Amino acid sequence: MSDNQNKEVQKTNASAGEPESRPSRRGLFASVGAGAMAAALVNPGKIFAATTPPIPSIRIPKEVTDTLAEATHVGDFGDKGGITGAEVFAKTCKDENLAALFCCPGNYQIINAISAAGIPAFGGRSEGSMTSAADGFSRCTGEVTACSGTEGPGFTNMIMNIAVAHRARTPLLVLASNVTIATDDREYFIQTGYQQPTTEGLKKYGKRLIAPDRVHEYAAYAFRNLKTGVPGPVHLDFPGEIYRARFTEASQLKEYYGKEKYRTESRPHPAPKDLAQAVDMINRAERPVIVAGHGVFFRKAWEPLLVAAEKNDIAVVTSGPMRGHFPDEHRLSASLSPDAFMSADLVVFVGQYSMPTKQEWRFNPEAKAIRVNPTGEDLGRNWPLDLGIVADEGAFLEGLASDLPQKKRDAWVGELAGARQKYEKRLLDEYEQGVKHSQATNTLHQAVLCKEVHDFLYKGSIDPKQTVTGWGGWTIGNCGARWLRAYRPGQEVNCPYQYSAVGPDLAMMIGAGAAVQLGVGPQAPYKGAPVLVLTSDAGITYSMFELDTAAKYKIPIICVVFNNNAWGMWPSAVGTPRSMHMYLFQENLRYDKMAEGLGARGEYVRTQDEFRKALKTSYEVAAKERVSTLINVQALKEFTSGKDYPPGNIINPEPSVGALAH
Amino acid sequence: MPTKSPVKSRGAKSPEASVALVTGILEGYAGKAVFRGFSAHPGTKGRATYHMIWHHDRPFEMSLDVGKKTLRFPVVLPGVPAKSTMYRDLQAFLKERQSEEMPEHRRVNPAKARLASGNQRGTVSIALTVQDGDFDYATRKIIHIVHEIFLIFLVDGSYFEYMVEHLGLDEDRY
Repeated sequence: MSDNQNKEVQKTNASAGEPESRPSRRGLFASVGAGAMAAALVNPGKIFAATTPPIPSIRIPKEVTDTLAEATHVGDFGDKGGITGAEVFAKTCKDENLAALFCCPGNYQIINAISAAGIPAFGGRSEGSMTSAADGFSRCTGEVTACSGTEGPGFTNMIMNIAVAHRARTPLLVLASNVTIATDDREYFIQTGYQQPTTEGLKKYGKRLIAPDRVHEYAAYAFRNLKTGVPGPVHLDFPGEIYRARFTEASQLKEYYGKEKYRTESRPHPAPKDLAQAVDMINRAERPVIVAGHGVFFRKAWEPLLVAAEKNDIAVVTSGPMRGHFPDEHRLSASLSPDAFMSADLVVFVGQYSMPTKQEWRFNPEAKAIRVNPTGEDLGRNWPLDLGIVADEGAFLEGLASDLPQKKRDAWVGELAGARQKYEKRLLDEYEQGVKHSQATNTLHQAVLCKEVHDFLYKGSIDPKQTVTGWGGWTIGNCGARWLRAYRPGQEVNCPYQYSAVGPDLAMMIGAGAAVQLGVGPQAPYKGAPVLVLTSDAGITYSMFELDTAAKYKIPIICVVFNNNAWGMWPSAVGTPRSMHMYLFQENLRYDKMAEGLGARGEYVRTQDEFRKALKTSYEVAAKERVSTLINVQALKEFTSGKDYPPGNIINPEPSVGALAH
Repeated sequence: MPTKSPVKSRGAKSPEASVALVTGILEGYAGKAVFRGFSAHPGTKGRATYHMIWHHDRPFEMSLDVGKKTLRFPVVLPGVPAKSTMYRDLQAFLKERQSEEMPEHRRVNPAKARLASGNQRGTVSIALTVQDGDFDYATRKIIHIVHEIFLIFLVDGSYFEYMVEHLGLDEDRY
């Protein structure tokens, strides 16, 4: 994280403390409506003569701007009273370029020290959502991010979101306070909990710190795990004795040396004979395809991938919790050509950390397989290999780019194009059916909604590479994934990837939005652009309050809520007595109104035309004023079922643009 | 653990040799995890039955009758009425697999093997009749066809609810 990016965090709240000036219907109606209501309660006979003062507008406290503008301070042994354990930890985070921290208050000394050190820090409304925000930041940048919560309740609130990050192999630093060593096992006062067993199976590495003088040593453990090999969450819990400890000289800390010595940037290169065999297999294949997994993104290896693919006419499909490390519009992209996968005679998995089985992915039973992974222990799991290679993804792809001969595969490229044409026709057929359903019901079908988003982001006046998108939910998620595109690295966040959690979508995309505002990594050329998320009425429940966080930090997001009055799985209740009530919400809930109450804009739409206009306005306000909007799209639950409104909910082939299992 | 038998692509003369050829090919698939479980049950007079755990972790059975030159899956999809749209769509899907719309490497060449589906009380069967004695070709093609039914036909069609109701698909699986 550069100093410029740190300054940008300070700028995000340049307008904090100012009265709200953004366009809002709330401002027009709040004082009249609420004032009249108050008057009516006091004196029902004089409702039109009310003189009650107007309700104050929502505003960002001045202290937000003021405190973000304060000078940074990294603790030092020479400070009065020395450096605290929390400051030692924060100093290591700073040295490691920790990209951002997302938290709720709690674990106070640690989060305060990290923010004071100048690491971009964001405080939100629930620990779980802040964990997903950190996850989303990482998914679109590839950087290590942190989340934090208080001991006990705050920490346990994070669990679902840690699990989400774990399945996505996100390099997420999970931090939490945890009472004191002195009171261990005594149920002393409140918030006691054994944290490390709770994250068993959800982390790459974890440790309860119990020796104050080893705080730096364990920070090193954390970053060694976060930045080496296959990434994954690291969980540290801090008893009070650790973060409150003070040190006045370096000798009081054990193993106190820098990152150059406690970890390495060295990457495993493929053995020459392995690389030669891979080159030979690719060259002999007629229809090879590279599956470019998240390892390609994390290692920022998209350039050698492009060179290798173009040199030898190799098809490429991206996979993982983010998309865009190979551009969708490229003639060799197979991400929109799922029908062609069965033709591939060689599959080269590169950085595919979550391996599918052969019953899940659409490949020919005859196809040979090469898999490249930075560590060896997972090679051969689920998918028998003809060649397994232990290598850094970037090093392998650089090797391919160098050693592959030039080759043209016109027939294969033609087949990819034909399959893409067929796929796109299917999408348009689905859209045409959706238009009819929309017109017949005066609500908006998911396919119509998604095509409108597609056309607005990629076919209009906006640079198609500009907007980072994410998606979640059931009916809308499956459909949205088919219509969203990724033309450059980190442009699309696959929110439900692997774990398929309902709910983290909005929070994840607020984290991604923070990364875009800061211009981190691949987001640098699009710094300041809005982000967009497609989610459901079921999903929005879990992180809607983070619209307050987005407003507070001026992270502009357009949140499209497909409001079909139900959990997407309502068909599971059909035919069972006394069960449907558990799957339904009140109909016609107004999420747009709730958003307005949280300091965002709200739009309510029922038709294609209304949605088109709302999207345009929302994007303009987001881009110019950094104000978020929630667009409540009224739909019907029956759109999920093909029996009622064909084609209904369609699951997506794997791999492809809509794949989420692996 | 299955071991790959020597496989000759053509010229298997005796029924026993043809059975050995087909068995070897299927063992090869099991060794590549195309099936999760596999066993061969050779019979007499060029007949054999094969059991495999395959899509949706369901048991499949394939029968071979060299004398009749047929390979057959008696149960591919349950619960598909013969007069349903789904069955018509499936037949169209199978027809497409034999047409020139498909690239040659994906096509079932009618000169080499004839593909047919059957429907008995809603249970769909698939059979391939060998035209030129090439059991290697036919075995691979029938496996490919069933594989494509599960990974293309059911996924690309509107058959999520069908898979939940008839194949035990977990509703929470995307």
